[in-house]
Amino acid sequence: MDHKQVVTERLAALGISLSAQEIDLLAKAHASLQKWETIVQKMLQPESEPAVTFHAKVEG
Amino acid sequence: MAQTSAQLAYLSLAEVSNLLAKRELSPVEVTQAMLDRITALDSRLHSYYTVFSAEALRAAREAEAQIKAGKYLGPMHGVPVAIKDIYESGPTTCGSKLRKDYVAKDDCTSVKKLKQAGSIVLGKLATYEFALGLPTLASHFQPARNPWNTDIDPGGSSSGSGAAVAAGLAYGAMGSDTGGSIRWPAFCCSIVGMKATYGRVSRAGVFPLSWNLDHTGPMTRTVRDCALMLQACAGYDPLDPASANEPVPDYSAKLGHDIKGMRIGIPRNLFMANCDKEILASFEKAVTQMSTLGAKVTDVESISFGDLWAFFWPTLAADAAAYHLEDMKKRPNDYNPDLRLTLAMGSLVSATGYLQAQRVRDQLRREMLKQLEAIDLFMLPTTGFLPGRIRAQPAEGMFISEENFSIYTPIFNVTGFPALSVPCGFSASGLPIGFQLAGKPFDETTVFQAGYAYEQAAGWYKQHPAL
Repeated sequence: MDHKQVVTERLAALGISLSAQEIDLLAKAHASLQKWETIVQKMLQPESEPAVTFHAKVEG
Repeated sequence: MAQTSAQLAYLSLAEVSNLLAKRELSPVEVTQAMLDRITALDSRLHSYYTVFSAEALRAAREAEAQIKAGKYLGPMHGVPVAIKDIYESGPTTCGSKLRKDYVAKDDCTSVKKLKQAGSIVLGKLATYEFALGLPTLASHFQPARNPWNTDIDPGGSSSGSGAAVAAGLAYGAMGSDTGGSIRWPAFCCSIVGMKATYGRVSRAGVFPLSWNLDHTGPMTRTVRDCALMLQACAGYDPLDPASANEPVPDYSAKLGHDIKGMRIGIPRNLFMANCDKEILASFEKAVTQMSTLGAKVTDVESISFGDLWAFFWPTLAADAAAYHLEDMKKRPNDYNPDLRLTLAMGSLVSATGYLQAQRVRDQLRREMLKQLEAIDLFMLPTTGFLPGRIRAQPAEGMFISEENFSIYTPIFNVTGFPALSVPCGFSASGLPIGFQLAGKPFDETTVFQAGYAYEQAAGWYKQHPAL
């Protein structure tokens, strides 16, 4: 994967403009994000649900 | 008063509170002494962005009149405290050029509660930019300095809170903690910091960094002081969607109770691989001290630091990126370079990556709740590194692609458990060291009990920086 290209396209889609030097640094960060996703994937148990689940609440 | 200015400044919050209650000290006297000390010392420490001199003295006169009239409000009545500059109250800059002229229309809930308890608010305290971006000498706002060595970072993001409390420029301060921003500066400045349970202290009117990781809480020089200050600001707030409608216990109730038989678990796998040797040595002495006091200390299983970082850091960065998206589009150059890069990194986190991280997070919370059936508390170093010199220029990219920032606090942000940092010594270079105790959700009382037992036995709280 060309991290620099992914970063450039993603930031353009969001409307964020940064310098070429910053894009280079973010390309490294994108590689780290990919690595961290792999680590997380290995930790996952099939039955896990995300912590963002909403809990219905009865008002009044 | 027969005390010198420094003696008065370094009385504990509880001691000042007792003197005020007995009318042996007046709120005006102690507030004026604090304001004089800020004037004398803070040009070197830069812990305050704004000092509310006139408002504080007015509130002190009112407190004095109330106490004289027998209308004593409790332990915080007449006690001077200060507030991190991300809490809405007067000028609220968040340490950023983007908010340099912003003035809050009203006080946020925590400040209101402290004032209702009779506290005197001295002013607003320095913060890392938006509670995240590391400050440098080139930042828009001067970074706060560490009172133990003014070339050194006081930790953050509640940097001014740590520096002001350690330097005797307030008896307590409010901080915020998304990944350790109360406990890390507490470690760096040799003070006590409590990140209470998620939902325990209102976040309403506190500038968000990550909605689901943000916690608020007090920072003080002693554990008892921390319990007193938490008592004043804890409680349900309908203005905060995450606020917990749980009863507020007496946080001082178990201070002084022994800890014989208390079960303490050490999650060594989290910190052994990358903890500084001096920090580790001080921590092990603290563990021995807890055993000597009667606690039953055992090692417990834990995820590694690398595993924690893999889901914590993208979660925080993505949340922050979402909040700051509009300003990143319109005014990116008004952010300091380090924060701009971190926010841009957060915008690269994928939706699936974010949700998988939340799944692992909930998995971990459940596993650690299960562990808390067999133990009462977790104990571990607060961080694995000593703070460095305040940098002249941004170290662009330092944070965003590496996981060498060995801070062990985020595990209690992702789980929401209450966690306290307590001083436990100094490095050979004279920099403070501390450790964390964390317990069951809403059981801050037991965390305080153990922290107090250690603090009183070890006595580090008696040491203050030479200023």
